[in-house]
Amino acid sequence: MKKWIVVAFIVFGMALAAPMVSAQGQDMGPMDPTMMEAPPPTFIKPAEVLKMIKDHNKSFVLVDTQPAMAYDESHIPGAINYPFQERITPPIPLPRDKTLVIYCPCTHDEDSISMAKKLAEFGYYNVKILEGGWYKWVALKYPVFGNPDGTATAASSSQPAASTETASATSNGPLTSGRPAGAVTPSFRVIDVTGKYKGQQTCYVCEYGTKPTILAFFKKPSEQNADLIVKLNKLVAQNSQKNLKGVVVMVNGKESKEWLESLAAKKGIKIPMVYLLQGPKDLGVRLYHINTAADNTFLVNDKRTVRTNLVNVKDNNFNEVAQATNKMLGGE
Amino acid sequence: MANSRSRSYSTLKLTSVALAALVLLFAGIKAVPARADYQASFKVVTPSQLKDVIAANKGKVVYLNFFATYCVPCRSEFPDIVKLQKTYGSQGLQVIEVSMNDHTDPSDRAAMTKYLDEMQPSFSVYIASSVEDSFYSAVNPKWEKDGEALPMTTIYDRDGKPVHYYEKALNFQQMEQDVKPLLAAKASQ
Repeated sequence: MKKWIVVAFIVFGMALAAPMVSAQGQDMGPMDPTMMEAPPPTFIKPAEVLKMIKDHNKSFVLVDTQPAMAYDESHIPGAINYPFQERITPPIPLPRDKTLVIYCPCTHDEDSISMAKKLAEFGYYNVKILEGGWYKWVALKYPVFGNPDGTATAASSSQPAASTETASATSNGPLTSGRPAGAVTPSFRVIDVTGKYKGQQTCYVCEYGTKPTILAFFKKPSEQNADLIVKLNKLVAQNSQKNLKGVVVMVNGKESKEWLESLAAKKGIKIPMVYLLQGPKDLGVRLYHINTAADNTFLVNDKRTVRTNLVNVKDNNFNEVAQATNKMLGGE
Repeated sequence: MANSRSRSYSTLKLTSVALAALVLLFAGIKAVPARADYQASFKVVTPSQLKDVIAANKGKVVYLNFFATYCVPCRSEFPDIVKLQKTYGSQGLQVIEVSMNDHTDPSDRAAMTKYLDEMQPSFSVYIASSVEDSFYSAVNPKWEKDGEALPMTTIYDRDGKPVHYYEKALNFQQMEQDVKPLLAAKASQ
């Protein structure tokens, strides 16, 4: 009697475990998003890292994501080099028992954020991003190994054009923001406030496709930006027969919703006005290389390609947007 | 005699317990994909893994489609893609869907789950490992060069050769027009 009760328990146990076993057996990818959640990236201030270095804190490792040659020229003292790569392939030579502090030679820490996400897929959850990355560290005149000027050049030369341009903004050059002329305009999610999908997530870049489109990113509500939106709306209306489209994208996020609604009502704005769900940390900011310090970024696009990029447009030079648009539409 | 009967009774009991457990075992295995077929394969996929998935379907006509839940043209064609698989699946069609939603963003993933719950596709839906330019170019350099349009569709013949490529939404008739001749053709090997 006892024997068959024991046998029954064993087979019942097997039966109960079966769904778990079969679920594991189906795992073909690096991560099942329904099972695991990659944590949002966490940032750490340069001053804090400097203090940890000075304190000889052994609980963390600095990870430099520059190309090996740039790393060889200069890096933060003590950092190990793990160059940025689109696809991480094991084995990963990074410790699992320490906090990884990642930095990159980028304006918005985009490579670091991307790397942190990829590492999370491989179970590295104790990862922090050095806020401002390499450029901020150098700008703060914190200690570096080697010659930072040489590194900046080497790092920039290995980056795409947009990164090179945005890098100049950190060295007191002209403020740059947005994908440069010649770059493509990827699909990205927005929350529609005043367009035909109001209240919904949508993608006007997807919808407008190859049509000429002005994508105007605004940092936050302001009188100047309101005036520019009115002018943009007029420009689009004047060129409606040429299929010109325009979209206003508020970078600061949901906080601008009421302002947009009121602006549409008061000024009769017909072009869709939207915001980025995650505000300045939204994927759209990263994909479009938007400099969150810029008041506005106008991308005049055609056939899913940026033709002209204008930053910090003011009331008195909006004609540059109009001229670029007219040139794109046929040189009128 | 009594001993032998008791032994055979005990064997009978054990057999019934084992049978009951087997039934439970099969019920358990079935219970996972029964949640929703598309969720069983709701995996993050890299471009190279995607190529493996396409290669594994050699012998079938593969309808590879990239979409995002926030993309209106994508949503307009999605029900037709679901219908296409239902109609031609038995003839050797395999739809492979890849979502370009951001898999690292919980709100984007939630939107995807909600949408797929409504659509109830009978095929695998993967989610792109990245939404950076490099993902698009690794899938197809033309796609990235043309501006990373969504939706994007590539249709492969039974030999795994890409035959049709679109950077726009299609209607059911257009889908059928491309798929039917490919289904009628046999694989070369």
